Amino acid sequence: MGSLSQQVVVIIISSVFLLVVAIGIILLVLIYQKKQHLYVREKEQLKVDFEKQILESKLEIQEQTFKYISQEIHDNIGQVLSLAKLTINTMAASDPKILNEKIDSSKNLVGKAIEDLRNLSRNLNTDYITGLGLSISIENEIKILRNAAQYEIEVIKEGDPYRLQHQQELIIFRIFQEVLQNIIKHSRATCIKIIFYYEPSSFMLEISDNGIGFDVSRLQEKNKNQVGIGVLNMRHRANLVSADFTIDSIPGKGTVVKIKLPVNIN
Amino acid sequence: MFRNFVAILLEPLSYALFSIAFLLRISIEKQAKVKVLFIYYLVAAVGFGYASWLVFRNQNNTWIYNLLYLPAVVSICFYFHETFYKGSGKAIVKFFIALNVIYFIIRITLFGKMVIIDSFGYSLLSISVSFLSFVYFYQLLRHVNELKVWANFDFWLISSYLLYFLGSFFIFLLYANLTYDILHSYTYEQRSLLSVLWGVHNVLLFLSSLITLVGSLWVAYHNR
Repeated sequence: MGSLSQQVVVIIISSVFLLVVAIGIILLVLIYQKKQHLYVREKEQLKVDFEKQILESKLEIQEQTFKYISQEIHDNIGQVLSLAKLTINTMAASDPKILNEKIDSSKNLVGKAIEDLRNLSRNLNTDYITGLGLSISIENEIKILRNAAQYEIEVIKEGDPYRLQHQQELIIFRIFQEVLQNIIKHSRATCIKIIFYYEPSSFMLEISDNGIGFDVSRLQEKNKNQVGIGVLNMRHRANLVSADFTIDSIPGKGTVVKIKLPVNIN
Repeated sequence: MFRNFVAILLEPLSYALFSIAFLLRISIEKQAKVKVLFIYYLVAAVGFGYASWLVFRNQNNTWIYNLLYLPAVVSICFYFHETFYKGSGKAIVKFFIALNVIYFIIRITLFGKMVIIDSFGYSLLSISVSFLSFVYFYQLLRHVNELKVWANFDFWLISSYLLYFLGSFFIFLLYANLTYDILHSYTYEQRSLLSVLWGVHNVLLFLSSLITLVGSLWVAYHNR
């Protein structure tokens, strides 16, 4: 009897022990599951934030594009066509020599307007840019800038060239365009240097000028000025393709912009 | 009176609670796995109710336990089989079903009708269900989704199974041995001790059925 009661007590204690183990396991599962649940939610939130950022960047790019088109039409194409109209208006049949000169001038002006429109169209066409590739698209931009004969432009390619993903090429090209616009508008530079670094593990585009430069610390100011917002937008865009965007400038000594992207060419 | 209730009547009551929990589930989702377990628990509630009646009439009721062993194996394992997404999980369930069924056939062939409870069979079932519960928890942690774990009826049921089957393992394993030892000197005190032990088993079973019922009500309330 004593032995039986002892055995029963041992069995009950063992059962309680196993019950506690079972409760412990369930609690552990609950805690771990809750943590994982939180992790999944955070991941989802990050994804949503990232998509929001992409959308904001797209809207911003669209806004800039509209502004760019408006400026191009107003400053270039509109001016040239107005001049062509003025030339046509002042044509008089009296002097055939002057008339021929004015007809030639009008032809040239209309030809320039067509060329400007073509360049504008190419600049805006995403398929055209991704089709040509980053390197050729940048060279085309430089060719247009060289025609203005205001800048001494040098292009260097280090390493064996390769193509990047379409999205990466497009975003880097848009950043390049903005950097170029900034140089034209604000830098008062005379020389522009563009270097492509094709390395096996990374790609880097470096754009430098010998302009007036600016104080980089102004970018850190809380109330962002126009320059700060522009740089921030370029940095955001670079982040979208996991690229690093750095800007270095000394007042009076020019500016260097670097866009570095990790790649795996294998 | 209370002792009799815990040792004898709590078992059919627990199976009845399981049946109610599964009846509630059937009203929400008409899955085969839920229907199978509902039928099993309904049959078990009736079977163990009859077993309790036999106890009051001082008749042997062990055959009911030994008979309901196989339906328990098949229905519970079927539930796990339908709950697991992956082939590996389903293969583990098939292995345990095969193991239990082979054991049942061998037992019937070698021993025929047993006068004491089939301890080995029930402890095998206990180990099988506990192992499958671990596999379920592993699957749960590997595939985290937006749904909260409390809103998942499988979690409630399988947690209750783990508590009951793991907690009762030693009782199942040693109960027949204890019964066998005192078979020839079956005194009132010895019988009382064994009923205490079975009472502990019944409390675990009741706890398990209560968790399942609460889970069923909770999930039904939150998924309205």
